[in-house]
Amino acid sequence: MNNVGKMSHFERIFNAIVDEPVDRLPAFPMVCGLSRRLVGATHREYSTISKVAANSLLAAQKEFDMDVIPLLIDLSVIAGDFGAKVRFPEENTPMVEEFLIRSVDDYEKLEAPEIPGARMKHQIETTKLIMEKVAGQVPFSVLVEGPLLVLTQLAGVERVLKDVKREPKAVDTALKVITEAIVEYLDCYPDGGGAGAICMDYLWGNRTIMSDDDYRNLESKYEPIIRRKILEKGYMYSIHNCGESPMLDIQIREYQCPLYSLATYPDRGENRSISKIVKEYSDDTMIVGSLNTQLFTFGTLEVVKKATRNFMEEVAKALIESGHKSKFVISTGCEISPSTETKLENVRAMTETINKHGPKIQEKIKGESRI
Amino acid sequence: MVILSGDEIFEKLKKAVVDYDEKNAIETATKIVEQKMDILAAVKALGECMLEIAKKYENSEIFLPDLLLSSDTMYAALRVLEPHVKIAERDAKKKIIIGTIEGDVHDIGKNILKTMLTAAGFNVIDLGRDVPVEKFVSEVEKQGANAVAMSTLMTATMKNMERVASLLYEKGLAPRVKIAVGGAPVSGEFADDVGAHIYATNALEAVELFKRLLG
Repeated sequence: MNNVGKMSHFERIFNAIVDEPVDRLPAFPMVCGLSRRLVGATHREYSTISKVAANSLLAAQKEFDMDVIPLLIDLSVIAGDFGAKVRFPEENTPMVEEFLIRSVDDYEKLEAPEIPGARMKHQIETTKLIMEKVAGQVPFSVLVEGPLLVLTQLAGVERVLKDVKREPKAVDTALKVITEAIVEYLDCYPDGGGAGAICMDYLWGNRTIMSDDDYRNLESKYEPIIRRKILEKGYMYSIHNCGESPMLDIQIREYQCPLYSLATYPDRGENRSISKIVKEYSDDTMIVGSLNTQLFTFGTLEVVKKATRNFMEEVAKALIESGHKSKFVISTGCEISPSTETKLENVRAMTETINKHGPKIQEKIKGESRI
Repeated sequence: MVILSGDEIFEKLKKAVVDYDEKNAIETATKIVEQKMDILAAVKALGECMLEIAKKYENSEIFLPDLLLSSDTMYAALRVLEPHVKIAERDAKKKIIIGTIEGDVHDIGKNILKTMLTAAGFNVIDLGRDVPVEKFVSEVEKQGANAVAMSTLMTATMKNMERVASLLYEKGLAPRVKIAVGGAPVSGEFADDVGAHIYATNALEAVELFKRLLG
Protein backbone atom coordinates (compact mmCIF):
# COMPACT_ATOMS: atom_id res chain seq x y z
CA MET A 1 0.00 0.00 0.00
CA ASN A 2 0.99 3.61 -0.54
CA ASN A 3 2.37 4.86 2.77
CA VAL A 4 1.47 8.50 2.01
CA GLY A 5 -1.73 9.19 3.93
CA LYS A 6 -4.79 10.52 2.15
CA MET A 7 -4.08 14.04 1.10
CA SER A 8 -6.25 17.10 0.77
CA HIS A 9 -6.82 18.53 -2.71
CA PHE A 10 -4.46 21.34 -1.93
CA GLU A 11 -1.65 19.12 -0.64
CA ARG A 12 -2.00 16.76 -3.58
CA ILE A 13 -1.67 19.49 -6.21
CA PHE A 14 1.11 21.38 -4.53
CA ASN A 15 3.15 18.26 -3.81
CA ALA A 16 2.73 17.21 -7.42
CA ILE A 17 3.94 20.58 -8.70
CA VAL A 18 7.22 20.16 -6.82
CA ASP A 19 7.40 16.45 -7.65
CA GLU A 20 7.08 15.29 -4.07
CA PRO A 21 5.24 12.09 -3.04
CA VAL A 22 1.44 12.12 -3.34
CA ASP A 23 -1.24 9.60 -2.39
CA ARG A 24 -2.35 9.56 -6.02
CA LEU A 25 -2.02 11.88 -9.01
CA PRO A 26 -4.49 14.79 -8.95
CA ALA A 27 -7.77 14.44 -10.85
CA PHE A 28 -8.91 17.36 -12.96
CA PRO A 29 -11.73 16.68 -15.39
CA MET A 30 -12.43 20.04 -17.00
CA VAL A 31 -16.08 20.31 -16.09
CA CYS A 32 -16.96 23.93 -16.76
CA GLY A 33 -20.28 24.82 -18.43
CA LEU A 34 -21.34 21.21 -17.99
CA SER A 35 -21.44 21.79 -14.21
CA ARG A 36 -24.62 23.90 -14.56
CA ARG A 37 -26.58 20.70 -15.10
CA LEU A 38 -25.86 19.72 -11.49
CA VAL A 39 -27.77 22.74 -10.24
CA GLY A 40 -30.50 22.71 -12.88
CA ALA A 41 -29.34 25.90 -14.62
CA THR A 42 -29.10 26.67 -18.32
CA HIS A 43 -25.81 27.44 -20.02
CA ARG A 44 -27.01 30.98 -20.59
CA GLU A 45 -27.47 31.37 -16.82
CA TYR A 46 -24.05 29.86 -16.17
CA SER A 47 -22.54 32.36 -18.60
CA THR A 48 -24.23 35.43 -17.19
CA ILE A 49 -25.06 34.96 -13.48
CA SER A 50 -22.00 34.69 -11.24
CA LYS A 51 -23.82 32.99 -8.38
CA VAL A 52 -25.06 30.30 -10.76
CA ALA A 53 -21.60 29.78 -12.27
CA ALA A 54 -19.94 29.58 -8.83
CA ASN A 55 -22.57 27.23 -7.40
CA SER A 56 -22.34 25.03 -10.49
CA LEU A 57 -18.56 24.72 -10.33
CA LEU A 58 -18.60 24.10 -6.58
CA ALA A 59 -21.25 21.42 -7.05
CA ALA A 60 -19.10 19.76 -9.72
CA GLN A 61 -16.06 19.83 -7.47
CA LYS A 62 -18.01 17.95 -4.78
CA GLU A 63 -19.84 15.63 -7.12
CA PHE A 64 -16.71 14.51 -8.95
CA ASP A 65 -14.17 14.99 -6.16
CA MET A 66 -12.12 17.24 -8.41
CA ASP A 67 -8.71 18.32 -7.19
CA VAL A 68 -8.90 21.59 -9.13
CA ILE A 69 -11.87 23.77 -10.08
CA PRO A 70 -11.70 24.84 -13.74
CA LEU A 71 -13.03 28.36 -13.83
CA LEU A 72 -13.86 28.87 -17.46
CA ILE A 73 -16.93 30.69 -18.67
CA ASP A 74 -16.14 30.67 -22.39
CA LEU A 75 -13.62 32.09 -24.84
CA SER A 76 -15.55 35.22 -25.81
CA VAL A 77 -15.38 37.01 -22.45
CA ILE A 78 -12.80 39.64 -23.37
CA ALA A 79 -13.89 39.97 -27.01
CA GLY A 80 -17.47 40.44 -25.83
CA ASP A 81 -16.43 43.33 -23.63
CA PHE A 82 -14.49 44.86 -26.51
CA GLY A 83 -17.79 44.96 -28.39
CA ALA A 84 -17.91 41.80 -30.52
CA LYS A 85 -21.49 40.54 -30.71
CA VAL A 86 -21.80 37.35 -28.66
CA ARG A 87 -24.59 34.82 -28.98
CA PHE A 88 -25.73 33.16 -25.75
CA PRO A 89 -27.50 29.89 -26.61
CA GLU A 90 -29.62 28.40 -23.84
CA GLU A 91 -27.72 25.12 -23.78
CA ASN A 92 -24.45 25.66 -25.60
CA THR A 93 -21.26 27.67 -25.18
CA PRO A 94 -21.54 31.38 -25.99
CA MET A 95 -19.78 32.34 -29.19
CA VAL A 96 -18.93 35.44 -31.18
CA GLU A 97 -21.29 35.83 -34.09
CA GLU A 98 -20.34 39.26 -35.42
CA PHE A 99 -16.77 40.43 -35.59
CA LEU A 100 -15.76 43.91 -34.54
CA ILE A 101 -12.75 44.20 -36.82
CA ARG A 102 -13.76 44.13 -40.48
CA SER A 103 -10.99 46.13 -42.15
CA VAL A 104 -7.34 47.02 -41.71
CA ASP A 105 -8.34 50.40 -40.33
CA ASP A 106 -10.38 48.69 -37.62
CA TYR A 107 -7.20 47.17 -36.12
CA GLU A 108 -5.72 50.62 -35.78
CA LYS A 109 -8.95 52.04 -34.36
CA LEU A 110 -9.38 49.34 -31.72
CA GLU A 111 -9.87 50.85 -28.29
CA ALA A 112 -9.93 49.12 -24.93
CA PRO A 113 -13.36 49.08 -23.30
CA GLU A 114 -14.05 50.17 -19.76
CA ILE A 115 -12.47 47.49 -17.61
CA PRO A 116 -13.85 45.36 -16.17
CA GLY A 117 -16.69 45.06 -18.67
CA ALA A 118 -19.84 43.08 -17.89
CA ARG A 119 -18.45 39.74 -19.02
CA MET A 120 -15.13 40.21 -17.27
CA LYS A 121 -17.04 41.18 -14.11
CA HIS A 122 -18.98 37.94 -14.32
CA GLN A 123 -15.79 35.87 -14.36
CA ILE A 124 -14.16 37.96 -11.61
CA GLU A 125 -17.27 37.72 -9.39
CA THR A 126 -17.45 33.96 -9.99
CA THR A 127 -13.80 33.69 -8.94
CA LYS A 128 -14.45 35.70 -5.78
CA LEU A 129 -17.42 33.52 -4.82
CA ILE A 130 -15.38 30.37 -5.32
CA MET A 131 -12.47 31.76 -3.36
CA GLU A 132 -14.79 32.64 -0.48
CA LYS A 133 -15.88 29.02 -0.26
CA VAL A 134 -12.78 26.97 -0.98
CA ALA A 135 -9.60 29.08 -0.97
CA GLY A 136 -6.86 27.05 0.67
CA GLN A 137 -8.85 23.83 0.37
CA VAL A 138 -9.38 23.30 -3.33
CA PRO A 139 -7.12 25.00 -5.89
CA PHE A 140 -8.81 26.64 -8.83
CA SER A 141 -7.65 27.63 -12.29
CA VAL A 142 -9.13 30.71 -13.98
CA LEU A 143 -8.88 30.60 -17.75
CA VAL A 144 -8.17 33.88 -19.50
CA GLU A 145 -7.95 34.34 -23.26
CA GLY A 146 -4.52 35.30 -24.61
CA PRO A 147 -4.06 38.37 -26.85
CA LEU A 148 -4.04 36.46 -30.13
CA LEU A 149 -7.12 34.45 -29.17
CA VAL A 150 -8.94 37.69 -28.29
CA LEU A 151 -7.91 39.17 -31.63
CA THR A 152 -9.20 36.16 -33.57
CA GLN A 153 -12.48 36.51 -31.66
CA LEU A 154 -12.63 40.16 -32.68
CA ALA A 155 -11.64 39.79 -36.32
CA GLY A 156 -12.07 36.12 -37.24
CA VAL A 157 -9.28 33.57 -37.53
CA GLU A 158 -8.92 33.85 -41.28
CA ARG A 159 -8.62 37.61 -41.35
CA VAL A 160 -6.04 37.65 -38.57
CA LEU A 161 -3.90 34.90 -40.09
CA LYS A 162 -3.88 36.61 -43.48
CA ASP A 163 -3.16 39.99 -41.94
CA VAL A 164 -0.23 38.54 -40.01
CA LYS A 165 1.42 38.52 -43.46
CA ARG A 166 -0.37 41.41 -45.19
CA GLU A 167 -0.68 43.94 -42.39
CA PRO A 168 1.70 42.96 -39.57
CA LYS A 169 1.89 46.48 -38.19
CA ALA A 170 -1.87 46.81 -37.88
CA VAL A 171 -2.13 43.38 -36.21
CA ASP A 172 0.59 44.33 -33.75
CA THR A 173 -1.15 47.61 -32.91
CA ALA A 174 -4.31 45.71 -31.99
CA LEU A 175 -2.38 43.09 -30.00
CA LYS A 176 -0.79 45.85 -27.94
CA VAL A 177 -4.19 47.36 -27.09
CA ILE A 178 -5.59 43.92 -26.23
CA THR A 179 -2.60 43.06 -24.03
CA GLU A 180 -3.00 46.28 -22.09
CA ALA A 181 -6.68 45.46 -21.60
CA ILE A 182 -5.85 41.93 -20.42
CA VAL A 183 -3.35 43.26 -17.90
CA GLU A 184 -5.92 45.75 -16.59
CA TYR A 185 -8.49 42.95 -16.42
CA LEU A 186 -6.08 40.71 -14.49
CA ASP A 187 -5.51 43.54 -12.10
CA CYS A 188 -9.23 43.47 -11.22
CA TYR A 189 -8.99 39.93 -9.80
CA PRO A 190 -8.70 39.58 -6.04
CA ASP A 191 -5.27 38.81 -4.69
CA GLY A 192 -4.69 35.11 -5.37
CA GLY A 193 -2.61 34.42 -2.27
CA GLY A 194 -1.30 31.27 -3.92
CA ALA A 195 -4.74 29.67 -3.79
CA GLY A 196 -5.09 29.19 -7.50
CA ALA A 197 -3.73 29.66 -10.99
CA ILE A 198 -4.51 31.92 -13.88
CA CYS A 199 -4.35 29.88 -17.01
CA MET A 200 -3.71 31.76 -20.25
CA ASP A 201 -5.20 30.25 -23.37
CA TYR A 202 -2.46 30.58 -25.97
CA LEU A 203 -4.14 28.42 -28.56
CA TRP A 204 -2.54 29.93 -31.64
CA GLY A 205 1.01 29.03 -30.66
CA ASN A 206 0.54 25.97 -32.79
CA ARG A 207 2.74 24.70 -35.61
CA THR A 208 -0.19 23.58 -37.74
CA ILE A 209 -1.16 27.27 -37.78
CA MET A 210 1.98 29.37 -37.97
CA SER A 211 5.76 29.29 -37.79
CA ASP A 212 7.70 29.76 -34.56
CA ASP A 213 9.11 33.00 -35.99
CA ASP A 214 5.67 34.44 -36.72
CA TYR A 215 4.46 33.47 -33.26
CA ARG A 216 7.48 35.08 -31.64
CA ASN A 217 6.62 38.31 -33.43
CA LEU A 218 3.03 38.18 -32.19
CA GLU A 219 1.95 36.83 -28.81
CA SER A 220 5.46 36.14 -27.52
CA LYS A 221 6.21 39.84 -27.51
CA TYR A 222 3.45 40.44 -24.98
CA GLU A 223 3.60 37.27 -22.91
CA PRO A 224 6.14 38.53 -20.31
CA ILE A 225 3.91 41.49 -19.41
CA ILE A 226 0.97 39.17 -18.77
CA ARG A 227 3.06 36.65 -16.84
CA ARG A 228 4.45 39.40 -14.63
CA LYS A 229 0.95 40.63 -13.76
CA ILE A 230 -0.30 37.12 -12.93
CA LEU A 231 2.60 36.50 -10.57
CA GLU A 232 2.27 39.96 -9.06
CA LYS A 233 -1.39 39.18 -8.27
CA GLY A 234 -0.37 36.07 -6.33
CA TYR A 235 -1.53 33.40 -8.81
CA MET A 236 0.39 30.54 -10.29
CA TYR A 237 1.06 30.95 -13.99
CA SER A 238 -0.44 28.32 -16.22
CA ILE A 239 -1.04 27.87 -19.94
CA HIS A 240 -3.64 25.88 -21.83
CA ASN A 241 -3.19 24.97 -25.46
CA CYS A 242 -5.33 22.20 -26.91
CA GLY A 243 -3.97 22.61 -30.44
CA GLU A 244 -2.54 19.70 -32.41
CA SER A 245 1.06 20.91 -32.42
CA PRO A 246 1.59 23.40 -29.61
CA MET A 247 4.93 25.20 -29.52
CA LEU A 248 6.08 23.48 -26.35
CA ASP A 249 9.63 24.83 -26.37
CA ILE A 250 8.34 28.37 -26.58
CA GLN A 251 5.33 28.09 -24.30
CA ILE A 252 6.90 25.87 -21.62
CA ARG A 253 10.58 26.76 -21.66
CA GLU A 254 10.76 30.32 -22.96
CA TYR A 255 7.64 31.34 -21.02
CA GLN A 256 8.89 29.47 -17.92
CA CYS A 257 5.46 28.03 -17.37
CA PRO A 258 5.17 25.73 -14.33
CA LEU A 259 1.76 24.25 -15.29
CA TYR A 260 0.96 23.34 -18.88
CA SER A 261 -2.35 21.92 -19.98
CA LEU A 262 -2.58 20.24 -23.36
CA ALA A 263 -4.44 17.76 -25.52
CA THR A 264 -3.03 14.77 -27.36
CA TYR A 265 -4.14 13.57 -30.79
CA PRO A 266 -3.01 10.03 -31.59
CA ASP A 267 -3.65 10.40 -35.31
CA ARG A 268 -2.42 13.89 -36.18
CA GLY A 269 -0.12 16.78 -35.31
CA GLU A 270 2.96 16.67 -33.09
CA ASN A 271 1.25 15.87 -29.77
CA ARG A 272 0.58 12.19 -30.38
CA SER A 273 2.01 10.64 -27.24
CA ILE A 274 1.67 11.78 -23.65
CA SER A 275 4.59 9.58 -22.74
CA LYS A 276 6.96 11.47 -25.03
CA ILE A 277 5.80 14.84 -23.70
CA VAL A 278 6.17 13.78 -20.05
CA LYS A 279 9.69 12.56 -20.69
CA GLU A 280 10.73 15.67 -22.60
CA TYR A 281 9.11 18.40 -20.54
CA SER A 282 8.48 17.24 -16.96
CA ASP A 283 11.75 18.76 -15.77
CA ASP A 284 10.41 22.14 -16.89
CA THR A 285 6.72 22.01 -16.08
CA MET A 286 3.89 19.94 -14.68
CA ILE A 287 1.91 18.55 -17.59
CA VAL A 288 -1.87 18.63 -17.22
CA GLY A 289 -3.64 16.35 -19.65
CA SER A 290 -5.09 14.82 -21.69
CA LEU A 291 -7.93 12.29 -21.80
CA ASN A 292 -10.01 12.59 -24.95
CA THR A 293 -13.10 14.69 -24.20
CA GLN A 294 -15.12 12.65 -26.73
CA LEU A 295 -15.21 9.84 -24.19
CA PHE A 296 -17.65 11.75 -22.02
CA THR A 297 -20.22 12.30 -24.73
CA PHE A 298 -19.92 9.16 -26.79
CA GLY A 299 -18.27 6.60 -24.49
CA THR A 300 -19.79 4.06 -22.14
CA LEU A 301 -18.86 3.73 -18.48
CA GLU A 302 -16.61 0.79 -19.23
CA VAL A 303 -14.87 2.62 -22.07
CA VAL A 304 -14.19 5.65 -19.84
CA LYS A 305 -12.88 3.50 -16.99
CA LYS A 306 -10.60 1.56 -19.29
CA ALA A 307 -9.30 4.67 -21.07
CA THR A 308 -8.61 6.39 -17.73
CA ARG A 309 -6.83 3.36 -16.30
CA ASN A 310 -4.72 2.89 -19.43
CA PHE A 311 -3.86 6.58 -19.48
CA MET A 312 -2.80 6.48 -15.81
CA GLU A 313 -0.56 3.48 -16.50
CA GLU A 314 1.00 5.23 -19.50
CA VAL A 315 1.69 8.38 -17.48
CA ALA A 316 3.10 6.36 -14.56
CA LYS A 317 5.49 4.54 -16.88
CA ALA A 318 6.66 7.83 -18.39
CA LEU A 319 7.13 9.38 -14.93
CA ILE A 320 9.15 6.36 -13.79
CA GLU A 321 11.30 6.41 -16.91
CA SER A 322 11.98 10.12 -16.58
CA GLY A 323 12.74 9.85 -12.84
CA HIS A 324 9.72 11.77 -11.55
CA LYS A 325 7.54 10.99 -8.56
CA SER A 326 4.30 12.85 -9.13
CA LYS A 327 4.62 15.73 -11.58
CA PHE A 328 1.41 15.26 -13.55
CA VAL A 329 -2.30 16.03 -13.34
CA ILE A 330 -4.73 13.53 -14.84
CA SER A 331 -7.03 15.80 -16.76
CA THR A 332 -8.92 16.13 -20.01
CA GLY A 333 -7.34 17.63 -23.11
CA CYS A 334 -9.90 20.40 -23.12
CA GLU A 335 -13.20 21.41 -21.56
CA ILE A 336 -15.61 18.48 -21.42
CA SER A 337 -18.44 19.34 -23.79
CA PRO A 338 -21.20 21.23 -21.95
CA SER A 339 -23.75 19.60 -24.24
CA THR A 340 -26.92 18.19 -22.71
CA GLU A 341 -25.85 14.91 -24.30
CA THR A 342 -22.61 14.62 -22.32
CA LYS A 343 -22.95 11.87 -19.72
CA LEU A 344 -22.28 13.06 -16.18
CA GLU A 345 -21.80 9.47 -15.05
CA ASN A 346 -18.82 9.24 -17.40
CA VAL A 347 -17.10 12.09 -15.56
CA ARG A 348 -17.76 10.26 -12.32
CA ALA A 349 -16.27 7.11 -13.85
CA MET A 350 -13.06 9.00 -14.65
CA THR A 351 -12.52 10.36 -11.14
CA GLU A 352 -13.62 7.11 -9.45
CA THR A 353 -11.08 5.24 -11.54
CA ILE A 354 -8.36 7.69 -10.48
CA ASN A 355 -9.40 7.32 -6.83
CA LYS A 356 -9.55 3.55 -7.07
CA HIS A 357 -6.34 2.80 -8.95
CA GLY A 358 -4.34 5.96 -8.26
CA PRO A 359 -2.80 4.93 -4.90
CA LYS A 360 -1.55 1.57 -6.22
CA ILE A 361 -0.13 3.13 -9.35
CA GLN A 362 1.52 5.79 -7.21
CA GLU A 363 3.13 3.11 -5.08
CA LYS A 364 4.52 1.59 -8.26
CA ILE A 365 5.96 4.96 -9.30
CA LYS A 366 7.55 5.36 -5.89
CA GLY A 367 9.07 1.89 -6.00
CA GLU A 368 10.43 2.08 -9.51
CA SER A 369 11.39 5.70 -10.03
CA ARG A 370 15.06 5.98 -10.89
CA ILE A 371 15.65 8.90 -8.56
CA MET B 1 2.87 43.94 -75.68
CA VAL B 2 4.66 40.63 -75.01
CA ILE B 3 2.64 37.58 -76.01
CA LEU B 4 3.37 34.68 -73.71
CA SER B 5 2.99 31.05 -74.78
CA GLY B 6 0.39 28.82 -73.09
CA ASP B 7 2.96 27.21 -70.83
CA GLU B 8 4.55 30.52 -69.93
CA ILE B 9 1.28 32.18 -69.08
CA PHE B 10 0.11 29.21 -66.98
CA GLU B 11 3.44 29.32 -65.11
CA LYS B 12 2.91 33.01 -64.50
CA LEU B 13 -0.56 32.28 -63.14
CA LYS B 14 0.81 29.60 -60.83
CA LYS B 15 3.59 31.85 -59.60
CA ALA B 16 1.03 34.51 -58.73
CA VAL B 17 -0.82 31.97 -56.59
CA VAL B 18 2.37 30.83 -54.85
CA ASP B 19 3.34 34.46 -54.17
CA TYR B 20 -0.26 35.31 -53.25
CA ASP B 21 -0.14 38.16 -55.72
CA GLU B 22 -3.83 38.73 -56.45
CA LYS B 23 -3.32 41.64 -58.84
CA ASN B 24 -0.97 39.62 -61.04
CA ALA B 25 -3.26 36.58 -60.89
CA ILE B 26 -6.25 38.61 -62.09
CA GLU B 27 -4.23 40.28 -64.86
CA THR B 28 -2.87 36.94 -66.05
CA ALA B 29 -6.26 35.26 -65.93
CA THR B 30 -7.72 38.18 -67.91
CA LYS B 31 -5.01 37.73 -70.57
CA ILE B 32 -5.83 34.02 -70.80
CA VAL B 33 -9.45 34.92 -71.49
CA GLU B 34 -8.61 37.73 -73.92
CA GLN B 35 -6.17 35.57 -75.89
CA LYS B 36 -8.86 32.84 -76.10
CA MET B 37 -6.53 30.27 -74.58
CA ASP B 38 -7.68 26.94 -73.16
CA ILE B 39 -9.68 28.10 -70.11
CA LEU B 40 -10.23 24.63 -68.74
CA ALA B 41 -6.49 23.94 -68.86
CA ALA B 42 -5.88 27.19 -66.97
CA VAL B 43 -8.42 26.20 -64.29
CA LYS B 44 -6.73 22.82 -64.03
CA ALA B 45 -3.29 24.43 -63.71
CA LEU B 46 -4.61 26.61 -60.90
CA GLY B 47 -6.01 23.56 -59.11
CA GLU B 48 -2.79 21.58 -59.46
CA CYS B 49 -0.82 24.53 -58.14
CA MET B 50 -3.12 24.88 -55.12
CA LEU B 51 -2.81 21.18 -54.31
CA GLU B 52 0.99 21.50 -54.46
CA ILE B 53 0.78 24.40 -52.03
CA ALA B 54 -1.43 22.27 -49.76
CA LYS B 55 1.20 19.52 -49.80
CA LYS B 56 3.81 22.04 -48.68
CA TYR B 57 1.47 23.04 -45.86
CA GLU B 58 1.00 19.43 -44.78
CA ASN B 59 4.80 19.03 -44.78
CA SER B 60 5.17 22.19 -42.64
CA GLU B 61 7.16 23.91 -45.39
CA ILE B 62 4.65 26.73 -45.30
CA PHE B 63 1.96 27.67 -42.77
CA LEU B 64 -1.71 28.50 -42.62
CA PRO B 65 -1.39 32.24 -43.42
CA ASP B 66 0.42 31.34 -46.68
CA LEU B 67 -2.16 28.68 -47.55
CA LEU B 68 -5.06 31.07 -46.94
CA LEU B 69 -3.54 33.87 -48.99
CA SER B 70 -2.73 31.53 -51.89
CA SER B 71 -6.29 30.24 -51.67
CA ASP B 72 -7.65 33.80 -51.98
CA THR B 73 -5.44 34.35 -55.01
CA MET B 74 -6.68 31.15 -56.63
CA TYR B 75 -10.30 32.24 -56.13
CA ALA B 76 -9.52 35.69 -57.57
CA ALA B 77 -8.21 34.07 -60.76
CA LEU B 78 -11.07 31.56 -60.85
CA ARG B 79 -13.62 34.39 -60.71
CA VAL B 80 -12.13 35.69 -63.97
CA LEU B 81 -11.84 32.31 -65.66
CA GLU B 82 -14.95 30.40 -64.61
CA PRO B 83 -17.60 32.47 -66.44
CA HIS B 84 -15.81 31.43 -69.64
CA VAL B 85 -15.84 27.70 -68.91
CA LYS B 86 -18.42 26.04 -71.16
CA ILE B 87 -21.67 25.24 -69.34
CA ALA B 88 -21.42 21.55 -70.24
CA GLU B 89 -17.95 21.37 -68.74
CA ARG B 90 -19.16 23.11 -65.59
CA ASP B 91 -22.13 20.80 -65.22
CA ALA B 92 -19.92 17.73 -65.60
CA LYS B 93 -18.28 18.49 -62.28
CA LYS B 94 -19.44 16.48 -59.28
CA LYS B 95 -21.33 18.59 -56.75
CA ILE B 96 -20.41 18.73 -53.08
CA ILE B 97 -22.46 20.59 -50.49
CA ILE B 98 -20.25 21.92 -47.70
CA GLY B 99 -20.89 23.79 -44.45
CA THR B 100 -20.21 24.14 -40.74
CA ILE B 101 -22.89 22.32 -38.79
CA GLU B 102 -25.72 23.96 -36.83
CA GLY B 103 -24.56 25.45 -33.53
CA ASP B 104 -21.01 26.17 -34.67
CA VAL B 105 -19.61 29.28 -36.31
CA HIS B 106 -15.98 28.16 -36.72
CA ASP B 107 -15.36 27.80 -40.42
CA ILE B 108 -11.66 27.83 -41.14
CA GLY B 109 -11.40 24.04 -41.54
CA LYS B 110 -14.42 24.02 -43.81
CA ASN B 111 -12.91 26.80 -45.92
CA ILE B 112 -9.63 24.95 -46.33
CA LEU B 113 -11.39 21.80 -47.49
CA LYS B 114 -13.56 23.86 -49.84
CA THR B 115 -10.42 25.32 -51.44
CA MET B 116 -8.85 21.89 -51.89
CA LEU B 117 -12.02 20.36 -53.33
CA THR B 118 -12.37 23.29 -55.73
CA ALA B 119 -8.73 22.88 -56.70
CA ALA B 120 -9.35 19.19 -57.33
CA GLY B 121 -12.09 20.05 -59.82
CA PHE B 122 -15.28 19.59 -57.80
CA ASN B 123 -18.20 22.00 -57.88
CA VAL B 124 -18.39 23.01 -54.23
CA ILE B 125 -21.53 24.69 -52.94
CA ASP B 126 -20.78 26.44 -49.67
CA LEU B 127 -23.71 26.86 -47.27
CA GLY B 128 -21.56 28.82 -44.81
CA ARG B 129 -21.52 28.36 -41.05
CA ASP B 130 -24.10 27.40 -38.43
CA VAL B 131 -26.07 25.60 -41.15
CA PRO B 132 -29.32 24.01 -39.88
CA VAL B 133 -29.60 20.23 -40.08
CA GLU B 134 -32.61 20.41 -42.44
CA LYS B 135 -30.83 22.89 -44.73
CA PHE B 136 -28.03 20.40 -45.46
CA VAL B 137 -30.59 17.79 -46.48
CA SER B 138 -32.82 20.12 -48.53
CA GLU B 139 -29.80 21.51 -50.41
CA VAL B 140 -28.58 18.01 -51.23
CA GLU B 141 -32.01 17.35 -52.78
CA LYS B 142 -32.30 20.72 -54.49
CA GLN B 143 -28.80 20.70 -56.00
CA GLY B 144 -28.75 17.00 -56.80
CA ALA B 145 -25.46 16.83 -54.92
CA ASN B 146 -23.15 13.84 -54.99
CA ALA B 147 -21.79 14.44 -51.52
CA VAL B 148 -22.21 16.49 -48.39
CA ALA B 149 -19.33 17.62 -46.19
CA MET B 150 -19.94 18.84 -42.64
CA SER B 151 -17.43 20.42 -40.31
CA THR B 152 -17.36 21.33 -36.62
CA LEU B 153 -14.90 22.45 -34.00
CA MET B 154 -17.17 21.67 -31.07
CA THR B 155 -18.11 18.33 -29.54
CA ALA B 156 -21.45 19.82 -28.53
CA THR B 157 -22.55 20.07 -32.15
CA MET B 158 -21.37 16.66 -33.37
CA LYS B 159 -24.80 15.19 -32.69
CA ASN B 160 -26.16 17.51 -35.39
CA MET B 161 -23.86 15.83 -37.90
CA GLU B 162 -25.35 12.53 -36.83
CA ARG B 163 -28.84 14.00 -37.42
CA VAL B 164 -27.97 15.08 -40.97
CA ALA B 165 -26.56 11.64 -41.72
CA SER B 166 -29.65 9.92 -40.28
CA LEU B 167 -31.98 12.11 -42.35
CA LEU B 168 -30.01 11.40 -45.52
CA TYR B 169 -30.34 7.66 -44.89
CA GLU B 170 -34.03 7.95 -43.92
CA LYS B 171 -34.81 9.79 -47.14
CA GLY B 172 -32.94 7.19 -49.16
CA LEU B 173 -30.37 9.74 -50.36
CA ALA B 174 -27.43 8.04 -48.65
CA PRO B 175 -25.46 5.94 -49.39
CA ARG B 176 -25.73 7.23 -52.99
CA VAL B 177 -24.94 10.69 -51.62
CA LYS B 178 -21.62 10.35 -49.82
CA ILE B 179 -21.29 11.86 -46.35
CA ALA B 180 -18.10 13.47 -45.05
CA VAL B 181 -17.48 14.64 -41.49
CA GLY B 182 -14.49 16.55 -40.21
CA GLY B 183 -13.11 19.00 -37.67
CA ALA B 184 -10.90 18.86 -34.59
CA PRO B 185 -13.14 16.75 -32.30
CA VAL B 186 -14.28 14.33 -35.01
CA SER B 187 -12.71 10.88 -35.15
CA GLY B 188 -12.78 7.96 -37.54
CA GLU B 189 -14.79 6.02 -35.00
CA PHE B 190 -17.45 8.75 -34.88
CA ALA B 191 -17.54 8.84 -38.69
CA ASP B 192 -18.17 5.08 -38.77
CA ASP B 193 -20.83 5.32 -36.07
CA VAL B 194 -22.89 7.90 -37.96
CA GLY B 195 -22.52 6.13 -41.30
CA ALA B 196 -20.20 8.71 -42.88
CA HIS B 197 -18.17 7.59 -45.88
CA ILE B 198 -15.38 10.12 -45.70
CA TYR B 199 -13.22 11.12 -42.76
CA ALA B 200 -9.62 12.23 -42.90
CA THR B 201 -7.16 13.97 -40.62
CA ASN B 202 -6.26 16.59 -43.21
CA ALA B 203 -7.78 18.23 -46.28
CA LEU B 204 -5.52 16.52 -48.81
CA GLU B 205 -6.38 13.04 -47.57
CA ALA B 206 -10.05 14.03 -47.66
CA VAL B 207 -9.73 15.16 -51.29
CA GLU B 208 -8.25 11.79 -52.23
CA LEU B 209 -11.21 10.03 -50.60
CA PHE B 210 -13.70 12.27 -52.42
CA LYS B 211 -11.92 11.52 -55.71
CA ARG B 212 -12.00 7.79 -55.03
CA LEU B 213 -15.67 7.73 -54.06
CA LEU B 214 -17.07 10.25 -56.54
CA GLY B 215 -14.81 9.46 -59.44
